[in-house]
Amino acid sequence: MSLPSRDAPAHARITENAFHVLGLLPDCARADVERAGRTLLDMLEVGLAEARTYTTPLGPRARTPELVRHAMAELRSPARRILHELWAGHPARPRGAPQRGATHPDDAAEPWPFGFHAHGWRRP
Amino acid sequence: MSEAVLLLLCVAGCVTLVAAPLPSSELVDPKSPRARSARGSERRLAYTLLALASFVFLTLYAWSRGADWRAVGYLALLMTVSIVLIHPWLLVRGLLIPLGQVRMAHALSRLGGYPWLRDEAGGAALAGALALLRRGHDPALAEWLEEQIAAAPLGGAGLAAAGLIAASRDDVAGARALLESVEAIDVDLTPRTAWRVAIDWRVADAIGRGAYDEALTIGRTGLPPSRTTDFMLLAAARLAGEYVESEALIKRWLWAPRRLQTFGLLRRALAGVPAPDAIPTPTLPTFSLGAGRLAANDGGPPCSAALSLHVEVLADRDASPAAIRRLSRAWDRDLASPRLREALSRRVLDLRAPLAAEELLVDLREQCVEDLAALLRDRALELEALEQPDWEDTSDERDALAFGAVLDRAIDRVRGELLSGIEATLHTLAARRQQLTVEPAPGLESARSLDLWRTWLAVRDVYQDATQIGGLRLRRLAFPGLERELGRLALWMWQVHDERGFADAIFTWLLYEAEALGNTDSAETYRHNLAVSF
Repeated sequence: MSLPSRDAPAHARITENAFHVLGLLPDCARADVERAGRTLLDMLEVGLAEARTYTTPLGPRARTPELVRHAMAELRSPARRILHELWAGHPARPRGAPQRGATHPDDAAEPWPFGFHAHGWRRP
Repeated sequence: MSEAVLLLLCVAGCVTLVAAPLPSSELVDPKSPRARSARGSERRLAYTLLALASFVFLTLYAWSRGADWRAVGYLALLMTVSIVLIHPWLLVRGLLIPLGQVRMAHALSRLGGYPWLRDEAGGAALAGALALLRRGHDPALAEWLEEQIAAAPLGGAGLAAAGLIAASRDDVAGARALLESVEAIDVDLTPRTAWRVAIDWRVADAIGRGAYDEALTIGRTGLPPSRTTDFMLLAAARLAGEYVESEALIKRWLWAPRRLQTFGLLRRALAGVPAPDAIPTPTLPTFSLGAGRLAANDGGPPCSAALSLHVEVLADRDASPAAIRRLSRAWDRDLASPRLREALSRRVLDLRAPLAAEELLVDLREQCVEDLAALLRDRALELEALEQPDWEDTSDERDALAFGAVLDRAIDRVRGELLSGIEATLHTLAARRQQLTVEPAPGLESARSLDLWRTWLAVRDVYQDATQIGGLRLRRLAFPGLERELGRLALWMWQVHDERGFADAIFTWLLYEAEALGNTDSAETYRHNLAVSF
């Protein structure tokens, strides 16, 4: 997984697992990988909303053409594919389910961005 | 006659104030910043009294000689000009800063006086920086102000000015670091107004991010805040869940200036936070185990136990050290299980992979260590807490605390990375100092001080972040190298560039650290250096 990760490093192995990205089960055939990858790339190119996100055990993530291409490349290598199969063993969280850990009580506070104006300063 | 006596008394009082030795001359070094600021303060008071007395005397004298109101008006104008020259802050704060007159605010503040007695050059720069924040950012003016800061030893006001200039450039991270570091400079070199400005900015910044608890930590320093910040802190306390009466909040809002701008915060604070039972509790989704995919005698995919725990720990931001240890043990068990080895061998044969199952197992173990190390770094978990059993562990787990090889390696890796991070910042600091020694920036002494100050702050922050995770063991490992390099920097800044405030901040920090580590020899050295430098 040499692609620069957009998720927290500890999460990336789960959230950027090639099977989750392509929406496939670990026991799928190699042809399925190519077919699913090409289909997703086409859907992303025309901007279909259902292709823009995918489900993972840690909640939905944004799907990009780069991620799809990287996932396809990873699954072409037998050794890399076996490792991805192991990490894809946990079921993906259904779409729309709440993400545990994604919101924290500290994040819930709504900011009030006018403090600088109250001192007469420009806001950076 | 009585007027003349009154004036003579005033003049005598002023002369006495100026000429009198400091009341605590035996305790205060006459060359110290504290003594200098005390003398400056006395001198200003004497000038003020002299101006007022002269006005009173000349008015009475002119009146007795039959002068009209016009003469008194001229005298009043003369006195006002004198007072403004003695205390330029009155004009700078009331007129030049709101108008955004950077150069004039700086020039007039250079005359000194309240509130910049402890750092006059820095105070003038801070007045300019405050004016800069009132207008659109002007790179030329910002650069000019930085040159002014560089032209004098670094003090608290100079640092606050540098922070505001960074804010004006939209360098928020730089502004936060510099304004937070104002506290590191000795109080004798930091005017209270500079401290207050730094707190004002940091509180506004924290509230702007919704970090109300952080705003309270910043604002509750014991220093009386400005009226605006005082109101913001009370509102933040209420928004953070503390009990604050609505009446007190409204009173504080009425007392603060710019009520129109702060009305939004008042309204939000009065609306309050939702009661605990109104906060929706997320329900955990239920997963289908995919029964159709599992044969009756199949225990599920290999590593399923470890993987489930892995996902749970990743999803739980407050996962305890005991949960991490359980995860590590689960990985150890699964990685050692013959079932995984068999499954890998089967897949290697199915896919005709050009490597053995054992090699894949090594790769998988490496990935586990890598992910666990990343998790420890992300969560900033204390490594020492992970190495000890606690009440959350069951007795069996405590007995089997030969805690996982995976966790053991992850902890070693994190500790090594943290130590490398500290060494890298020290190397950067040494290189920067060396570079500035060989090629000093022409005519920009301040650039050197500010540049090195930022580098030292980076070293301190990296060290503090690292030791928060790495604990006492890492502190003991990192401190000798740290004190060697920081000690060199402090001595160089103090003895070569007369940057007492800079050196004092480093020595004070090293003293606290040496005392915390029980390093009495080092602590004694820093105590001595501090006594000598001030």
